[in-house]
Amino acid sequence: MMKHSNSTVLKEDLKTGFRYAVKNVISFVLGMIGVLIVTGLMMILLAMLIFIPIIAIVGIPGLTQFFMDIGFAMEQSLNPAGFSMMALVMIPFISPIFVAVGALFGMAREIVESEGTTAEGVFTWYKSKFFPLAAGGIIIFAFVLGPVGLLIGLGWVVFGNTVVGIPSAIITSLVAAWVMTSLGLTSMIFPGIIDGIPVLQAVKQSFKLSIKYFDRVFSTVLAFVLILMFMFSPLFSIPLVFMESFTPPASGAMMGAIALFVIYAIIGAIVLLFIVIPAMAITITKVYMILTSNGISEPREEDSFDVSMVGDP
Amino acid sequence: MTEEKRPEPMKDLEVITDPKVVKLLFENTRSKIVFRYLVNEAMTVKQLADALGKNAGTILHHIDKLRKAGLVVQERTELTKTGIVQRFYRATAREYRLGIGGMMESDSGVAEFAEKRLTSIIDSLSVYGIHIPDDQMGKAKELLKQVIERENQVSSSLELVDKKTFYQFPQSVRNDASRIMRRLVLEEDEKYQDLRERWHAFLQTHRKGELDNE
Repeated sequence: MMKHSNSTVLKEDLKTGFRYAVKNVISFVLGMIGVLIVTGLMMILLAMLIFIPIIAIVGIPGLTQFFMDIGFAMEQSLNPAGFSMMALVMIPFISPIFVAVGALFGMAREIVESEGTTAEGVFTWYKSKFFPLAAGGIIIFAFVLGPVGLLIGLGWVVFGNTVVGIPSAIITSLVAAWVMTSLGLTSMIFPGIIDGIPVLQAVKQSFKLSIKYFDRVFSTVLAFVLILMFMFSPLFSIPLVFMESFTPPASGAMMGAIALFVIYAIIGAIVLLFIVIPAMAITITKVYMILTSNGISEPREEDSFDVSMVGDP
Repeated sequence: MTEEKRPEPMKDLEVITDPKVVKLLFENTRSKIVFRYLVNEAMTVKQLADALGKNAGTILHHIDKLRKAGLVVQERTELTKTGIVQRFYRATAREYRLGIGGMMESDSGVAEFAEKRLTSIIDSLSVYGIHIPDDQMGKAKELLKQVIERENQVSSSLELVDKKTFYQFPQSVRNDASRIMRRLVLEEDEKYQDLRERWHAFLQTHRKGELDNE
């Protein structure tokens, strides 16, 4: 079994991901609902831990002023410094989300090794790997979005607040290329952390694997990006068509179309959350386990008659 | 580590001296994973989960800890027809023994465990008619400790001169060969012989039958 990719290998990887995501959908639904609640509570707790001491020191007016200053800095010239500051403030709050995503990879690992998982399993991963997963998530977040912010900031500095035409197309292309590349490079971090590897080593390993097995890793990541784009393109294109052709008052047909659009959006979100994202975690974990193995073999028959004749001394 | 390296061949005997590792094995599921299953054969998480009646996640967490402690390694990976990637784990040694001396010197609950275990072993000899009086318990424990330690030391120092060929034999043949050789080196070790003679003499003096005969 080769570690590199081709269309058959990619198809098999995706098939495994979706098959087991569907098979374990109840565990994923229950686990993810639970983990989302815990994540929400964690975010509130973190907010209290951060803001209560700040309020105690600078008072509510001081805190309000701080956020107004950031808002002002961003409004003034869409200042990259303001965005950086905002990102820094946001990171502690969103870190429980990273842990939730990482814990999903824990469930995926259970599935890839044993065909099944349990809803409560996600909490064990959430608890036991909280700090490594949070650190891994922060690294992925900074690595993927840091350069994007920098590029957009540079665009604003060079071209002003409104970037249109060719510069806009160039920036958009560069951002898309970077997001794709960085997602591929960092895709093996969470599976590595779940595998018990320290965070920095998991980052190093993810980079090495995605470079060495470029085709296998990037084809998998690209496949899921395309699936997401395919799923959600109607959500972006339909409103544009509506806006262009809309003349009040809204007709019954139009209201029906809007209702269909909303239903599609809701179903899409459910499918994304409980099928596509778990399938992605399962597929990436499977790829990780194959790439980090010391060789893949076919299942073999064990020699059943292997009995000792000499007793212990 | 980018890819798993091929693990070292399974050792014949390993003496666990690190109190942290001993403590790790105090957990029932972990000790079962190692001593009941993985010393005998390589198994997957699913097989272990089924055998122990636990969920795969629990087994994975234990395996993670045991791998970090150096007691378990990943032996091979298989891809099933259903697309599942099965990792087979096995113990690093065919047999483990607890380094009693190191355990008794440790300052945690490990020392207490070792002390209790020695007492239990000596107490259990009563079923064979050997009754150690309380005032002789200290001596009995010290002698037994020394015998066990020496035996572990000599048995674990047995060197393979041709590892490659050794690991080509089936597990049962390797086990038989190692038992024969362990007996030989123990017979050859004068210190062990001396300790064993003293221990046996001590047991004989407290054997009920012997006392009745006297």
